This record gives sequence, structure tokens and C-alpha cells, in this order.
Amino acid sequence: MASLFSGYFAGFSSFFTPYTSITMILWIAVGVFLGIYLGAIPGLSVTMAVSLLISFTFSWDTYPALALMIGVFTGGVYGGSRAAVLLNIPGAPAAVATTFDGYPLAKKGEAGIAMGLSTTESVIGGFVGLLCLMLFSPLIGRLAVNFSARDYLLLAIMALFLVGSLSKGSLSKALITAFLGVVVGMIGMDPVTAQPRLTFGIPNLLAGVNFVVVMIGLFGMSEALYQLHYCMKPVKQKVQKILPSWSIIKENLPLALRSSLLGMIVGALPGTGGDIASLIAYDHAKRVVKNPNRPFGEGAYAGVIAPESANNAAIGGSFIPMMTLGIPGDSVTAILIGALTIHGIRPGPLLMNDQPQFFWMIVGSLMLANCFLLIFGLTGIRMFCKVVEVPKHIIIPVIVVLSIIGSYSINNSVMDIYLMFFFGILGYLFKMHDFPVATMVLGIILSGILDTNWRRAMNIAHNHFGEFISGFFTHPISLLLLLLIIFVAIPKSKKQKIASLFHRKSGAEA
Amino acid sequence: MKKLLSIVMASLISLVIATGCNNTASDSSSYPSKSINGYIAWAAGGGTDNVMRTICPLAQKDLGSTIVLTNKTGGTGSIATKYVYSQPADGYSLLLNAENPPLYKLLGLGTIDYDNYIPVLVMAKNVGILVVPADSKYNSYQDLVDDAKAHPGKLNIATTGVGGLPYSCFALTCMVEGIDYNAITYDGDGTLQPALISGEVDASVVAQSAAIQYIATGKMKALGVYSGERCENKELADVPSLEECNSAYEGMLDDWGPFYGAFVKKGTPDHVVKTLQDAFYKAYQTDTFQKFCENLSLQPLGYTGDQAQSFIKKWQSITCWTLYRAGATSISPADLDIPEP
Repeated sequence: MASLFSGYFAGFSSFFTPYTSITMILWIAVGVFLGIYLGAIPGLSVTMAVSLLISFTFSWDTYPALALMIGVFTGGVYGGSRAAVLLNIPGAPAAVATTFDGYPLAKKGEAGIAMGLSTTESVIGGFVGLLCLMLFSPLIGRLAVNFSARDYLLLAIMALFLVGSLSKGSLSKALITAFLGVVVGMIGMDPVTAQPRLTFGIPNLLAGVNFVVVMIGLFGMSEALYQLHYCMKPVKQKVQKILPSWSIIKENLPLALRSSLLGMIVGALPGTGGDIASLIAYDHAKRVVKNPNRPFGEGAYAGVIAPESANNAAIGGSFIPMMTLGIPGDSVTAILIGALTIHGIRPGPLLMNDQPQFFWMIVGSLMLANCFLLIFGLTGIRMFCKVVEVPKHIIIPVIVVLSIIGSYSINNSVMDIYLMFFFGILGYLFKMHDFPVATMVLGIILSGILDTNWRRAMNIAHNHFGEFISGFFTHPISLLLLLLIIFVAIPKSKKQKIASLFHRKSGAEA
Repeated sequence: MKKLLSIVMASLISLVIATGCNNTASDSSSYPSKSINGYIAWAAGGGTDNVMRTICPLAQKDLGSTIVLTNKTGGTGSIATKYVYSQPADGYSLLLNAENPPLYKLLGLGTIDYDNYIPVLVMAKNVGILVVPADSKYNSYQDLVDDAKAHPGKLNIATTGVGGLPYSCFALTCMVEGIDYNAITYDGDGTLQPALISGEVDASVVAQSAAIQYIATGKMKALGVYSGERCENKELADVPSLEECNSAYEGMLDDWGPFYGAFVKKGTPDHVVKTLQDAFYKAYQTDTFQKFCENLSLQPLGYTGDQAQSFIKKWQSITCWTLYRAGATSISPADLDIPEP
């Protein structure tokens, strides 16, 4: 253990480097500000923004370039929730779960509170993620590395339980859309054999259907059509209250902390990111919060708190494998590694040994970015609230255009626009007939993880089922996850029965 | 009424956007007269992306025109290869890709490959390192091969999919040694490397640039270098080249390996190709780019014209025939007019 941490705190003084340089503070602030507004636009993702910045900052010094990118990363992950709350369109995949209760809040005239909550909880999540990055990087890095294919499979199965949480009344309808999502996720070249699957000979489908395109269609385009169908009236917002009352934050602090830890760990795993983290956190909240202020799905505060703290905590988590092992924790850190490589720095174990100050500089910048997030997140909410009050004949065309731009800009492909329209119309039909669209998005996210990790795990076991099963008993992470799944799968009534059995026993003994 | 207005406005704005999408034809005599589009066939942050985002800003200084870089990913780089081919041959669309297109026809990934392109510059190549987890029972290349022969099909090798670096390298080893392995496919280096460090798989091939830090910090062991000679880095100086391990590799590994290059569609006017080649070559010669290659342990090549062509042909011939002999494909390279090495 001692060797794990040896020399770890060397270079700690660099933690303060960003605070002593005006240019760095400035660029972090600019980055966070830009990130929030870019992240709020559906389709303009953090990943894209950071990769644009690589060329833009090519000739800069490393530190300011990194400061700007870290700012955009932090702001962008948070910004995704803005559109989720105001328009029911997640600005980024990690904000999908925020739509479930954020948008109902806006419909009740509480968009201000929803955004205020998402800000404070994002900052809490951000700090928890950072603390873990600061204190437990080597440990969590080891956990992330030892997460085997079988464990990813179990994690994805656990996430499948979300279908139950996300169904609005009818489980069969939720299952139908979830399975559709899994099938859509399989379109494209088989990741193992490179055989085309479900492409119907269309070359543009070889690369698969981009998940963000489906998300923009199912949420953005379909919402525009749905609102058009019902000629919905804008909702007058109560903007006096922006800062969520202290009691709400305090009451839900344990939930926020648990969600943050969950988000941090899922974010640290190289195969999963903030999108899954926030969905699992939402599911967790729905299971443990006994008396939400409103039922989940109708504007429960806890339904905003859990995903928002989880997705920002995932940022700190994603830096852990990057800094300790040179392995990206998500798509943004993958680009960050590339950007740093161009600047002649290669994050990883060698850098941690030779230049630990670099690690602390990043931690310091992230900390500063989180502080700016609180400031920029809470200001400007009044202005954002106006978005909900904009007449529908103006906002709907804007949504349509943003959906087009967003889906085109992912891969500069016109095909993606057609796909977006297709899924938009599909989502509209789903909404008209009370099929949940969120489960379809979940299906697409999980499809690839389930498919590849199941085959990978079986392959590693030389396609012997016995060898696959025996792995559960030699690998503690797998066993733990399996037990967790069994625990979640047992219905509440059964659990109470078992618990009462125990009570009676202990009573008899006494 | 408002419903109608919404529909009208939405379609109007869409139309306005659509008009911005067309390509205006331009005069080729004064090339370049507008910005050039560079399509990177691999995702942001990866090896190809790194090389291109380093060299293109340097080349655009000499061209006097910006190169707008976009990542157009998917299909082992075949999506971008097809897309750039569908653009006019005027030198305003560059294909920035890696070693994969010469294998497309063989692997059924498409019919457009580098035969349909003129190389502007093949910038650099990478070297594959045969690595095993730090606590592996294999201490040498021979250990690994002996064990694979003793237990056919049991050796778990991590690959990044058909046509990726570990896949091509192991196809070669299988052909030379007559061994059989069990391929475990990962999405990319980001998921493959943890599996190697934790010992989930038995061995893999990792690019030199990525391998160094894991070998230096004792997270992986290197058994061999897929090259004719040893690497120059101090961390890898003790690692034998595969030619040293088995003389059957002789001649196969010289000037063979994954590479990065810029290409334009066949039919691009000669003076345009010349302008691009000169600009990219100048960028290649700069200290910035050479230093970059050194940092990443890439071997700078700087091949243009015929030299680039013959380099690519050699890679194609060796790789295609090894894949065919290893049984990875049922299409014979002979049917595709790919000569035997």
C-alpha cells in the first residue's frame, strides 16, 4: 500500500499554480462559461468542443491550453442539464436522466429551482469527484483496471433494471422500446468480426447509428412535433426563487454524496461514462428516497439531485485512469490525452513518477473550474427561464434547427440528419401512444456494452460456460456485483419477509 | 395559425441552412484559393488524430490557406476514405488516414482504397511491441510460442478488431510459428490496455509510443519488437527484435508497420499535388514535427510519390498474404492483384 502512494504528494505545491496565474484563472473562467452555453445546445457536445480547442490552442503554452479545456469540460457536462430542464432535450448524453424530473419542474413553473438545484448538486458532485481524485487515485485506478469484461456485463445488467424505473405505468411498453434500442445499438459493423449487421447494404450505416443522433431525434425533434400537435402554451415561470432553499440541499445531501461516489466510480471505469452514471444514480434515488416531495417523474427534487451530482462527479473519476495509467476514463479525457500529447506531455504512470506537479496542477484547475461553475451556474438563470416563456411558434423552429445542426455536426454527415428525423418521428409516435423514449435511449447505451462484454467474457473463458461461472468465485468484483444484482432483483415484499424472519429469530433467542 | 407559422418558419430556416452546404467550384490555377478540408479517418485523441493535428497547422503556413480538420470516423477508416473519394479531385479535400485502406478489399470493408488516391506524404510509422502483463509466466518470445504450441487455441490475445495493429502482427506470428490463438476483441487501446495490465488477457501488441510508459513503470513486460532492429529508446533497448527471436521473420519486418499519411483523390491536377507535397514535406522537416515524432517514438518516414507508393504496396502485400494464410479471410489476395511478398 505504501508503495502505491509513495511520492504521490510530491509536487503538491503545484496545486496552487492555477491560482497564482491571472491568465490561467481567466482561461478557466472563459472555458466554464463557454462550456455551459455550448453544453446547453443539443448536439454540440463537450467532446466536440474540446477537440475543436486542440487545433485552436495548438500554438499556446500547455498550461493555458489545458486550463481552457478543463473549463470547457466542467462547464459542458453541467450545461447539458439546461436544455434538459427547459426544453426536455438533453444537451448531452449525461443529461438524459435530468429530463425525467427537471422538465416536469419547468412545466410546473419551477425551472429556476430545477436549474439552481442542478447547479449546486453539480458543484457538490464535482467536489466529491475531485476529492477522490486527490486522495484515492491510485486505489481507484487499480479498481478500474481490474474491472473485467464480466464485470462490465454485470454492470450493464444492473443498469437494465432501470427499464422498470423508467417505465411510466406499462412495463411491457418500456420493454418494447428498450429492446428496440438494443437492436438499433447493434446496427453497424460487428465490433468483433467486422461483419456488417442490420445495415441493409447502406454504406453509411457501417459505422453504426450514432447514439447522440438518436437522442436528439427522440428527445428534441419528437418534443417539437409533440408540442406542435397539442399547441402547448408556454408556462409562466416563478423566477423569484432561484437558489434552492438550504433545507432541500441539506435533506438530500446523503443522496447527493452517494450519487457522487457512484458517478465517480462509473466515470473512472474506462468502458463507461457520465451517461450511465447519471442513469444508475437516478435509479438509485428512485429506490431509496421514500417520500419525495412529488412522485418521481412529476418533478421530484431528488430526481434532479441524483443524476446531476453523479454526472459531474464522473469528471473527477474520468481523470483517475488518465492520470494514473494513461488510459482515458471517457471520450473527453481521450481527447485531452491527445491534446497533451501534441504539447509533448504524455499522461500516465511515467508522468506521475517524473512530474507529479502536473497532476496537482490539473487537480487545482478542476477545483477552480468548479468554483466558477457555481458562479456562472447561478447567474443567468433568470435569462434562461425566459426560454420556457418564449412563444411556441418561435421556440419550435429553433429546436428543429438546433436538432439539425446538432446531428449534422457530430460527424459532418447528412445521413445523420435523416436518421435524426426518422427517430424524431418515431419518438413522436411513441409519445402519442405513451411509450417511454428514455428506455430506448438506455437500450442503445447498453447495447454495445452488453454485446461486446458478454462475448469478450465468454471468449476469455475459451467459450466454456463452466470457466465463465468459475470466474465469479475467483474475482471479488464480479461476486460483489452479482450479489448486488440479486439484492436489487428481489422484490421489496420478499425482502420484508426475509427481514421479519430474522427479527422473529432474534426475538426468540432473546 | 401559430402552428402553421411554426411549420413555415422551421422549413424556411432549414432551407437557408441547406444552401450553405453546397460546394462552390473554384479555379484550380491559383491553388489554394480557399480553405482546404482535411478529413481525419480516426477519432479525436487517437494516434492518427495526433499526427494530423500536429502536421496540418505546420503545412498550412506554407500553403497560405487554412486546413479545416474534421474527424470522420467509422468502418476502420473506410467511411472517410469513401467520403473523400466522393468529393471533387481539386485538392480541397484531403484524406488523413492510417495503414488500414490497403486491407479493405481483402476484408470486405469497401472497394475504395489507396489505389484510388495519390499519396501526398507518408509521415511516420509506428512499431508494434509484443507485451504481456507484468506478472506473466512468459519471460521471452520463445516461452510464449512454446506454450501456444503446447496448448493450441488457449492463448488469449487482446486485439482491437479485424485489421488493427495486434491483429495484423499476430497474423504474422501465427504464419511464421504455425501457432493458433484465441482472439479477444476490444474497442480500442483505452479498453485493451487495462485488460493487459490486470492480466485479463495473456498478451497483445501495443504501439511503441504507448508501450514505453507501461514498460518503464513495470506494468507490462515486453517480449519482442515487430521490426527488423531493436528500438532506440533506453526503456526498450534490451527487448529483442522478432528477427533475432526467429530468423524466419527475416526481410518481412523491414519497413513494415502501421503508418500515417495524407492523400488526395486520383485525378487531382499535378501542380496541386506538387504544392501539397511541398508544403507537407516542409512541415515534416520542421523541428516541431521531428520533436513530436521523437516524443511519441514514431519513426519519421517523409515518403512522397513513388517511394510512398512502394512503401504502401509492401505493407499491403505482406499483410494481406499473412492474413490470408492465417485464415482470416477467404478472399485470396491473388484475386485482387496483390503480389506475393
